[in-house]
Formats: sequence, C-alpha cells, structure tokens
Amino acid sequence: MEINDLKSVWKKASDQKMPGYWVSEEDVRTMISNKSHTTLAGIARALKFKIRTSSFGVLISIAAIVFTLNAGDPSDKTYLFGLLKTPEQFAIAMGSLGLVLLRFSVFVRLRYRQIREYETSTYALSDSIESAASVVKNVIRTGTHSDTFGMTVLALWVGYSNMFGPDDFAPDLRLLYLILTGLIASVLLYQISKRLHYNKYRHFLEALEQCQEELNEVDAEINDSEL
Amino acid sequence: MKGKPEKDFIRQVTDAQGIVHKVCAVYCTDPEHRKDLFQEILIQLWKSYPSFKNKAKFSTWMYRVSLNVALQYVRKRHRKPVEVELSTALRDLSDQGTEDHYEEELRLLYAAISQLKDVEKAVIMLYLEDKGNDEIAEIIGISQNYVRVKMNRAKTKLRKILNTH
Repeated sequence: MEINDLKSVWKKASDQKMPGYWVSEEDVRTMISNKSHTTLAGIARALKFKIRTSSFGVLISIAAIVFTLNAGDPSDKTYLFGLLKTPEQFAIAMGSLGLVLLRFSVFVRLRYRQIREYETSTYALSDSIESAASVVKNVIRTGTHSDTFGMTVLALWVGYSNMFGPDDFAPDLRLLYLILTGLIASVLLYQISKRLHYNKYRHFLEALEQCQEELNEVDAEINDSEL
Repeated sequence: MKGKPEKDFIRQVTDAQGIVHKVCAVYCTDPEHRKDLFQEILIQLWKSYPSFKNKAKFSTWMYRVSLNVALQYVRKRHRKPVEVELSTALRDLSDQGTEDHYEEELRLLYAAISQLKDVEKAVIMLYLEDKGNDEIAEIIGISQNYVRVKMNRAKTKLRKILNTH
C-alpha cells in the first residue's frame, strides 16, 4: 500500500458508518450526561470537595469565636486541652485557623476556576498541552504549600504543648527550640508533600512533557534551517 | 445550557461522529478503551461547546477538542499502544474477499499510524482528511512551516513502515 492509496482507504472509512460503533442521538445525550474520568476532571472534583470543606471550616471557626466570646464568665475554663487559658487566646487561635482556611479556600477556588476555564475552552493542540501542564503544576504547588503550612502548624502545636505544657508562654530557650522545630518541619514537610503530589500526576505530566518535546523538536529544526 | 443548544449540539455531533471514531481508532487500539475515549471526547465536546463560535468550521473545532482529549486520555492510562503486527495483517490480506480486503487495509492503516509519535499521528490523520496545511496548523497550533516538516517526516516514516512489511 502506497501513501497515495491511504487517502482512498481513509475516505472509504469516512463514508461508511462503522457497524457496532455508530451511536444514535439518544446515546450521545446519555453519554454527555455521564461523569468524566479524565485526569483534569478528577482534579476538579477533588478541588470542589476541598472548597466545600475549607469553607465549612471557616464558618466553624467564626462560630467558635462568636460562641466563645459570648459564653459568659470564662474564669474556670481552659481551651484546647488546657493550652489556652482565656477566651481571647482561643479567639485568636480560631481566627488564625479561619484565616488559614480562607486563604486555602481562595487558592483552591482559583485553581478550580482555572480548570473549568480550561475545560470550557478550545485550545489548539500545542496550547492545550502547555495549559494542561501548567494547570496541573499549579494544583501541585497549591497542594504542596497548603499541606506544608497545615502540617507545620500542627507540628508547632505539638511542639508547643510538649515544651510549654500547662506553663505560661515565656520567651526563653524553649522558644528557640520551637522555632527550630517549625523550620525543620516545614523544610521536611515541603519536600515530602511536593514529592507525594508530583507522584500523583507524574505519568500525566511526563507524557505531556514528552509531547511538548516532540513539538519543540521540529521548532529547533526549523530555526536551524532558517539560520 | 439545555434546550436548543443541547439539541443543536447533539444533532451536529451525531452527524459528524465519524471524526471522533477515527481519532479514537488512531489513538486507542483496545476496543474497550476506545469506547471510554469516545465518551470522554463527547463529554469534553459538550463542555467546550459554548466556546464554539462558528468562526471555525464545526469539523475543525471537533478535531481540536477530540485530539486534545485523545492525547491526554492516552496519557492518563499510560499504556503503550497495542501495535498490530503488520506482517500478520499483510499475510491475512491475500485470504480476504473485496469487502474484507478494505477492512483489512483500514486495519493495516491504523496499525501503521499507531507506530507514529502522537503529534505525527495527528498531522497524518488531518492530511488523510484532506485538510490543508493552514487548517492543520490552526488545529495543532503550529506554523505552516512546522506542518510541512512534520508531514514529510511522518510520511517518510509511514512509507518505511508500509514498505518494510
């Protein structure tokens, strides 16, 4: 079979309705109402879940602050397993948590919007590959940063409760240890989280990069021939 | 987005579904995966239908979306394409009747294309569809110079594959 013969074979295939494959309008309607299983659709669903939970977390933090500050005489109460002694301290802690969650929620929303925008656009193949890679890299970055931040706060919390216990906070040597704990935890957690997130989408990204390389290969060739 | 746009979309896509079938056949050799890919392409076509502004031809738009999904879908599965043994396909050709002969030629064509790289597959497929270099360039998002280089390379490869067996 020669190259020129290929077109006639291809044309014949275009003129015939492939038996067993051809679908009706009703089938098309059913198919488009189904859930997509592409990598990006999966990421979008996960982000949607994160937006809901983080928004819920923000509401809970606000409710906790309002409830604590209006709960009457707090003299005999302690908060968060005895670590905080006044409602103001607790309100600050919950406020910080709420802000962290709010920030996380905003970033996740941005990533989600980026995916939705990508899904509803029609890019040329080269732009599509580039955009998909960029979307996934942004998702990895957001996930890595939020995980690192959240886990570091947790590590600091555990460190604080172990170092200070029921004692009042004092700026002594323990504070230096606490700062060191935070720094080491954040560096380690960043590396671990980055690797975990990257591994999740490694195949997808590697393959997109491979495709980009294929496209760039010819670009380089054209540039060379033009020189 | 329901009602008339949905009806229009379904009618247009049903009429032009051959494009999607061909993209699936080129990028997916396993029948089950091909069905999945077909559905994914339809879902994506529907999602991006609002971006189709009648500036481009409907078929050009369909090719763009279908190729984008096909490339990423194959990526997701991260599987090697199942390559049909060309020598076997050719040996079988001599034993077939005229109708079967065509089926076999088509199978052989898909088998040969499946051995190309992803972008080459897209370029050759659009060439076989009789698309001009300008339209191919628009669908893939590259220059016409690029299309010419890629086309020559893909044709040479394809010729080699077909002649070898």
